[in-house]
This record gives sequence, structure tokens and C-alpha cells, in this order.
Amino acid sequence: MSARIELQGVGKRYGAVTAVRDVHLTIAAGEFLTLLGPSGCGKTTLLRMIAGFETPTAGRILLGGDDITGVPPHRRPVNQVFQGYALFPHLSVRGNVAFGLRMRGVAPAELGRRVDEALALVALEALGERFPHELSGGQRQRVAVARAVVCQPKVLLLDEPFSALDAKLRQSMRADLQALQRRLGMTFVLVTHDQDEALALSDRIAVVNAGALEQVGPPREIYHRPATAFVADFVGHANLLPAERTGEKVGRVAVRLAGGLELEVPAERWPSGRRDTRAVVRPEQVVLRPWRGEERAAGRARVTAVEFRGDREHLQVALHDGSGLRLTAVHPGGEGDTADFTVGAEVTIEISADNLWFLPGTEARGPR
Amino acid sequence: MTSPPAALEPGARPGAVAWLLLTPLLAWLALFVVVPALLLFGCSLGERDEFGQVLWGFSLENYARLLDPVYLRIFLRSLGFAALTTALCLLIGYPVAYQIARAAPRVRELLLLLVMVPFWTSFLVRTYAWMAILREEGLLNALVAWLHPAWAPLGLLYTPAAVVTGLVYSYLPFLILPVYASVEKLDGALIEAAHDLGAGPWRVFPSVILPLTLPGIAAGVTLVFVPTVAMFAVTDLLGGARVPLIGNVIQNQFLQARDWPFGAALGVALLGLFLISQLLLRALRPHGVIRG
Repeated sequence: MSARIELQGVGKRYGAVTAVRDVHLTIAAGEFLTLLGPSGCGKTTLLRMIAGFETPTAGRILLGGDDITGVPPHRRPVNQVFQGYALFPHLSVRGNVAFGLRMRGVAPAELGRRVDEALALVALEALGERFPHELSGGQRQRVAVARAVVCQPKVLLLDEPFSALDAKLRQSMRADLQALQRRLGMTFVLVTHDQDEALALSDRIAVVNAGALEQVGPPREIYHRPATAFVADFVGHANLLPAERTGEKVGRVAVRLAGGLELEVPAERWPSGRRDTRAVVRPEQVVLRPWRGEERAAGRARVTAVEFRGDREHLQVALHDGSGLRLTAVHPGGEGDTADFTVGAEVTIEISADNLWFLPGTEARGPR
Repeated sequence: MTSPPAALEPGARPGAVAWLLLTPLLAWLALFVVVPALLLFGCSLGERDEFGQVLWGFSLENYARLLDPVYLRIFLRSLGFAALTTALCLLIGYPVAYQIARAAPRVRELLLLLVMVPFWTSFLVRTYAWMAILREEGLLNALVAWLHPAWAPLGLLYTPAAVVTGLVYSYLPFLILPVYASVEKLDGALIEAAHDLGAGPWRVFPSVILPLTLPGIAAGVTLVFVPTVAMFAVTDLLGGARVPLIGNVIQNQFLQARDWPFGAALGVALLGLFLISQLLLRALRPHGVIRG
């Protein structure tokens, strides 16, 4: 009952402004795909085009092989969980959930049964007679989900469904939503600007920037092998260090990073045919040691800022080599060793070579 | 310690400061609403002497006179005119208010201004203008004479139609403004959600838009219906003496017949009618909280 969506060269222009340009994307049946990007990147416009609220100015949208580009929203087998939920304030929980079935002319007996099922699915059987203003944020979100899935859509669209919830609740609602998707086997398309959410929930993530897709892939690939500087920086934090190839051995490439660090990395990680590019150094890949008076200049740095986060500390360090390069490092926040890494402390940095990733392109953004 | 009024939860008991701030309104209501209403009621229980002076007393005779079929018919006719006027205002005003509320902000401001422009001129002047349009040598008949000379002149003025036209014209803004306010507050996402759940353009209105703008409709209907029932200036000028409504009768009792007690009884009866209708409206209010 779920179906594949194909976006074929989809674009949207508002007068002179291009909100979305030439998006090619196939979302498999039963897949959980997240459109991830900063606000104003066009991810919501993409979702609204799939829902039917916006008509593309270029390209086609196929659902299960049928062209739905010009089909109005009320005739699409697609339902949405709205940002802020958009529950009808004049209808009870049951009334909200039954709305879609009523509009489809479902017979009363079947309607009652399906509403019961949908409420059971989100564990709200007891609250059917309540009104939206009598519910908590989490309960409202569950009503919105029940209201959408009760119509048995081929695709469920979710527009920032967690943004109205507080951090703690967000975690548990996330797990619930993922479990629900697995159980229903329904195609889910989620829009969010929250990378944690995207990494935790998705089968694949499509990173959107300035109206175009930057990279599409599984969360691990997006995080560990970003295609562009934008993806590297938007998904998790990244230190982008200029890197230069200085030699080659069997299966490994000798690389010099800005700051003078010399490394040998696996050859498959270096973009073939390039002399220089940028290394994506995740903060957790930067290992800090207190400086003990060694002569070696490479990797010497000074701590410029410390941000305590409970389970870890984020440290800013400035390299001593005159480049003025700054790095972010993560250090597990034990109670004993804080004295070594206070602001102004002299440190040496080391970067483990094996898991370093190098951007395939040198320009700020990858090829479109 | 008194908490600042701004911090009060809706429904909380107002503190001393709140009462102080409410004093001008309460004084105004007491002086110009409660006291006159009590005077009116007291007067309606009295009699008049042959010179038209009010003799205070206690008799229900004036109320017994109300049951005279002549007055009952006038009452019913007034209610009918007011209902027709309200219905026409709703029919014309709702779509207008909806479009204004959904227009782009700059267009919206302009359109709202146009709705309010008539208030810049005296109400009586505008009603006289309608006489100039409707009378036999008026603008409308000139147009008819030019288009289809055989029909001219049409007897338009001093007809029920002229009265209703004048009433609709005068009270239309009182319906448009409250409906506009409630449509403007309506969250567009709710309409999109209804579309998303399978409601076509014709089903979104009765299932979502209408119930959520009901508070605005109720306010608009009250603001049109209540004054039109008792209206006498428009009916006098555009209807002549041919279509007397309850407002004209009351005015006559006070100014021509000089029977204040009976006029007061008519007024009290009208007041009672509104009170009953408001209580009925409250009882019919739906359960869900509607922000309106």
C-alpha cells in the first residue's frame, strides 16, 4: 500500500526567485527519507509540492509510477502531519481523526472501527472525546499522526513534527515514530532542520541547500563521507583543513594538512587525480594532549575556548603555525583532567589518519 | 499585594487595580444603560394624563395593549425586515469579509478603508442620498428611462424593497468587520489540512471555515439584527408611512401621540426579546473552544 515517489527535474520559481531547482530524487516504497537543510533552503517547498499545495514550475512528480504533478491535494493518496499539527479546534480527537474518512464517504460502521484502530496505534483510545486544547503537545502530535495515517496514504509527509515539543519528549516521540513507520511499512518523508533527528530516524537523508540537493545517502554515509563542504559542516560539526598530497605508497597516500601535520591515509579516501583538497576532521577525531615541551612544531596549539556540555567538553584551539587556523575538538569531560585544558593551555593535536575523509571537490560546493 | 492586571489569567477574579481601571466603563454603563432602562421600565407601568404627562403607578395595562393584533403584526413585520436585512448582509458581507481577510496585506488595508469610508459622512445624509437615487426623478429611474423607456418611471421609493435596501446598505459594515476579524485569525494551515484530508474546495467551507468563523458571524448578526429591528430613520425616509415598523411606532408614541408609558412598554418588550434571543444563542454555543 505504500508507493514509490519520483521527483523528475522538479523546480519551483516564484517570479525571479528560485526556491527549488532541478531536483531528481527517487524515494523507495516503505522508505523513511528525510529532507534535511537550513530554514529557507527549499525543503518545505519540496514537501508542499509532493502534498500538492504547490505546483512545480518545472519537472514531474510520480507516485507509484503515476504522474500526480497536476493533481490537487484532496485527490492525492498522500497525507501530511503539519508543523504545529493544524488540528481542528472545533472537533474532538475522534472528530479530527474521522475527518479524512468522512470526506471520503466511508460508511459509519467502518469509520468507527478505523478511528478506533488509529487511536489505538498512537495509544490515545482513552482521549477520543477530548478537544485539542485539552491535550498536551505530545498528545497533539499523536492525534496529528493518527489523523493522517487513518486515511491509509501511500506516503506520509511530516513537516517538522517535533519542533513544538521539548527536548526530553522529542526523544521518546522520535522512537515512537520510527517504530510506527516500521510497523506500517509506509513511505515516510520527513522535513527537518535538526540533524540529530535526521541521523536518528532516516533510512536515507537528502541534504538540501539553496533549493538543490547536495547529497543523498544513508545517515552514516552522509556523516562519514560528506560530498560537499556544506554537508560536512551542516551535518555534525566539521573542521575543514586544507590538505595536500605529498607522496604515495602501496595503498596509502601521504598527506600534509594545514598546521603541518603529516599523515598517511588509505588511498581510497583521497579523491583520485587531485593534488589538493580539504580534509573533513570531525571534532571527535582531534586528539588533544598537553604540550610537554617537545621541539616538534607540527600540531602545537593553544586552547582558546572551552564549552562544558556535561558528558563532554568542546574546545577551540588555535594552531601555532601562523596560519591562524582554529579547530574544534571534543574531549570527554572527566573531572580529573580539566586543569590541562583550560583557556590558554598549550596542547599538541593529533589526528587519526584511518578515518579521515577528504572532500571530492575543492570548491565550496560540489558539482550540481 | 495586588498583582498587575496584565498578569491575570483569563477567568481569574479581577483585583483592586482592575476594578479601578473598569470604573469609567461601569459608570458609563450605569448612567446611560442601567438607569434609563429602569426609568423606561418604571414608565411602562404608569399611565398618562390627557396632556401627555406621565402618571407614575403600577398597572400592566400597557403590556395588555401590546397583545393587540395591530402591534403584534408590526412586531412580526419588524422582525421579518430585520431578519431579511441580516440575511442579505450575511450573504453579501461574508464573501466580502473573507476575501478582504485573505487578500495581500496592502490590498487588505485599502479594502478595509473602503468599507469604513461611508462612516465619514453622516448617516442621515447617506439615507437622503438613497432617496435621490430611488425617487421617481432619481438616478436609477433616469438609467431605466435611458435603457428601457417603456418601464420608466418605476415606483421605487416608499416601498419595502427601498427600506431593506437602505437597511442593508447602512448595516453591511457592521457585519463585514467582525466576520473579517474572525476570518483573519483563521489559521491557513487548517484549511490546508482539510484539503490534505480529502476535502474539496466546496467541502472545506461547511466543515472547517464556517464553524471556525461562527463567533464572527454571531457578532455580526447581532450587530445588524438588533439595531435594524428598532430602526426608524431609514424606514421613515425610504419607506414613508406605508411600511411602519416597531421603531416608528415607538417614536410615534413618544413624539406624536405623547403616550410615553405605552412607548416605554413597547421598548421593554423589544429589550426582553433581545435578552431571550441572546440567552438562546449562548445555550446553543458549541462545546469546543473556538478562538474568534
